[in-house]
Amino acid sequence: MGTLLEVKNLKFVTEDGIEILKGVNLDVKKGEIHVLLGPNGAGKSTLANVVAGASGYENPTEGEVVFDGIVLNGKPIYERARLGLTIAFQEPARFEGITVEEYLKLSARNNPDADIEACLKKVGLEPCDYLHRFVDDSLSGGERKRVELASIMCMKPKLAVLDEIDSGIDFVSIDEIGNLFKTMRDEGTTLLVITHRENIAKIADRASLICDGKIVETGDPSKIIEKFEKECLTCTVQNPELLKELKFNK
Amino acid sequence: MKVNLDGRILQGVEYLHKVGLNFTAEDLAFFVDKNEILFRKPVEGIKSEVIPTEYGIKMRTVIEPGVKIDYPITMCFGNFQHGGEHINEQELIVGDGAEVKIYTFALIGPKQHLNRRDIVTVRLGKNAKVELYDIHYHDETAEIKFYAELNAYLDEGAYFYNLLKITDKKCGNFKTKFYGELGPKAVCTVEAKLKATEGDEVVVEDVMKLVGEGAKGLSKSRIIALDGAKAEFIGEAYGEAPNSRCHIDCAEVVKGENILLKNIPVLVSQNETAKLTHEASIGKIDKKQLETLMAKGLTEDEATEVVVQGMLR
Repeated sequence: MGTLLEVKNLKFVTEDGIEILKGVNLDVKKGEIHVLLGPNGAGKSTLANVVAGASGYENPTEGEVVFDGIVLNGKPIYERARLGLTIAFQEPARFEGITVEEYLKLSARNNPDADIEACLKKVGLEPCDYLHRFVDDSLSGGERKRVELASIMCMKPKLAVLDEIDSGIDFVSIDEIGNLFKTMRDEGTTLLVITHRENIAKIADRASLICDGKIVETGDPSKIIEKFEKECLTCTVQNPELLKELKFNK
Repeated sequence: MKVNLDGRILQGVEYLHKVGLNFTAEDLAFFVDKNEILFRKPVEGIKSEVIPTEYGIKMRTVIEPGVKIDYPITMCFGNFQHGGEHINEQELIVGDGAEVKIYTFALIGPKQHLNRRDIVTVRLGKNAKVELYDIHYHDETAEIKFYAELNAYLDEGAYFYNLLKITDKKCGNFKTKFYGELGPKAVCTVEAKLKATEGDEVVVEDVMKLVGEGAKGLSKSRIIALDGAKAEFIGEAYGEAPNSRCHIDCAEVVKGENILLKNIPVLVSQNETAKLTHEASIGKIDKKQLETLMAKGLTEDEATEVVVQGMLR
């Protein structure tokens, strides 16, 4: 499998001077589910935003984001989407007056073959119950995320970055989502899945562990999960609350 | 260009199509150009008296108790050949348990110079149910000063819904005032959706007076202000009765420069069990909304248009 996304020595420093990404190197191969695992504050969402070109993240402080052979630095999010790279945000926005059907049609506007009803069914939502609903506060958090996944399926991008799309969805359906990711991959979308849930990481083809703004290891998901459990969950660098607790116990 | 009578009605229907309403001339029950009645047809269950005056019309409509009309009544109050000073006075009396849905269209043709006042009073009997859609289309070449007043008196258990919509072309100098007096267990929802463009000055005032126990009111406004527009929203709720509830929700969205927006909430509780709430926002379109759409390949302008159209729907 060739490389679809290559992140080279990526650094990102905020306007306040906080260095969040400290030289990230990552490659995502065409046709794989690549899980990015890491504790809170490790830089997962920042990396997702820089890769997708979210507002304020289009230009990394240093390094390059290369997608399908094209350097993306400086390109806005919609241009990247048109090249076939999209993102599902951790908290996708809600919209007054826009129905699920319209939202999915907007997503599918560059994919005339999209079957929006089939996409909805794949995420476990019955079209007759949801197409006419508004993508507003009347949807639960879980429903909204399912609609977002359906919208990505309608787009059928080359690469989808899914930023904690599994959070807020009940545990029973985590397995369903894992199967859904496999379906998306089998239909031609490479996935970069950001999560801190090990059971999501299990379904990956490869995984990377991010810690303190750097990728510390990439490889077999089971090994990465093991490392995550052993080192990250007890790490005081990424978990200052734990550090306080340890000091208190001493 | 002088148009014949049918021409004005057809022009009116064309305007309706422009605002996304697929009514035909045959669907209309009433069509007046200022004080010139062009078309009127009887509606079963409705008694209506219309008197043309020098400056407009006076209309009194009565729906007998228990009458339920299962299709929308459509009435057009236009200005196509007649502008200038214009006053419409209308009274709608809806008997106990009656139900009706009414569309009124304020259609203003090209190059009209207009100073118009619409004063509408609606009286709903016990458990009556009325939906009133007030849809405007003001041609961009018209010069408009418009005052629209709607007074609604709801008896016990009555339900009233009103939508005021001006989302195409221009608003002009437009002021609207809603006054609702809600009896016991009455429910009233008023919505205003307006798009103010350059030179428009818009004032929306909603007053909800909750006088009956358990009355519930909701005032919801969505105002989009583009370059050079001024818009003001005043939302007032008076909780006088036990267990009455009212929520005022106004979002004013800015797109462009030289815009002046105001949002003034007034909540007055005169009963310890009354609950009044207010939610207001003024500002640009939410960045997260734009980004979520831009991640689908929409440009910022396209995403903005989608969000705005959704809010104004």
